[in-house]
Amino acid sequence: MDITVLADLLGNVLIILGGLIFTVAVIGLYKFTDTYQRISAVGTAAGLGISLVVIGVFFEAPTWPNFFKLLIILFLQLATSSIGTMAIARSAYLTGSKMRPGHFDHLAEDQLDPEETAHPDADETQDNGDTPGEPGRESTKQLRD
Amino acid sequence: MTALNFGLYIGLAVLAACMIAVAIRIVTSRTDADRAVSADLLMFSFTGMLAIIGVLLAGAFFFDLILIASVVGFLSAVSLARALTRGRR
Repeated sequence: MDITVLADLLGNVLIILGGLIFTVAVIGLYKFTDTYQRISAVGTAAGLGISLVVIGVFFEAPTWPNFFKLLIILFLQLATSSIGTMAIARSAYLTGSKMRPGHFDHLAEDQLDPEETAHPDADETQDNGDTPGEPGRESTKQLRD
Repeated sequence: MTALNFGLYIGLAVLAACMIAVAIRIVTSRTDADRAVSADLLMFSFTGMLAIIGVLLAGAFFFDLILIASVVGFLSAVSLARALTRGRR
């Protein structure tokens, strides 16, 4: 058995494994009941799946320049996929998407004023004019000062 | 490239099915956050599909294409997060 045949087989197996991990992510996207559970499914599985697919593709064309590009791609994917997904999770929390009832919200303790972050265009209305007679706006201004 | 490229076609078919399912999920989901997460997964699937198509076509620069696609995928995730909060950081 030749070494290139072994490398091809290994690449094919890794590509199929990556496709299966993507399938698990899609099943999680359909089956989970909460936005944050879906975010955890996608953020965990997508970086691993794309890394396995790219390693399998490298075994199909194994040269030294491709190896260094593979290292850069692996570093970028494993670092930035989780960061991007967590950025989406943060903005999903800031826009006040619903959590499944029965789970404790740890982030609610840390927030100073949850009313301010629940409305994403609150600062636009603040910039437009100082309309009197709004106690909620006054309280947020005092907190900011 | 030998004749042993069954996994490339299987992976291509699996990723295409994943992309179709994620697109259906984007259309039928109710909240904007679910659509953003689904679009993130769609971008990852597209990067994997680009890698497999590149090795099937045996182009010279397909690893550079995957490198650029991974950077653009991060940019798309961050801009989706920015668009979800309507421009508020």
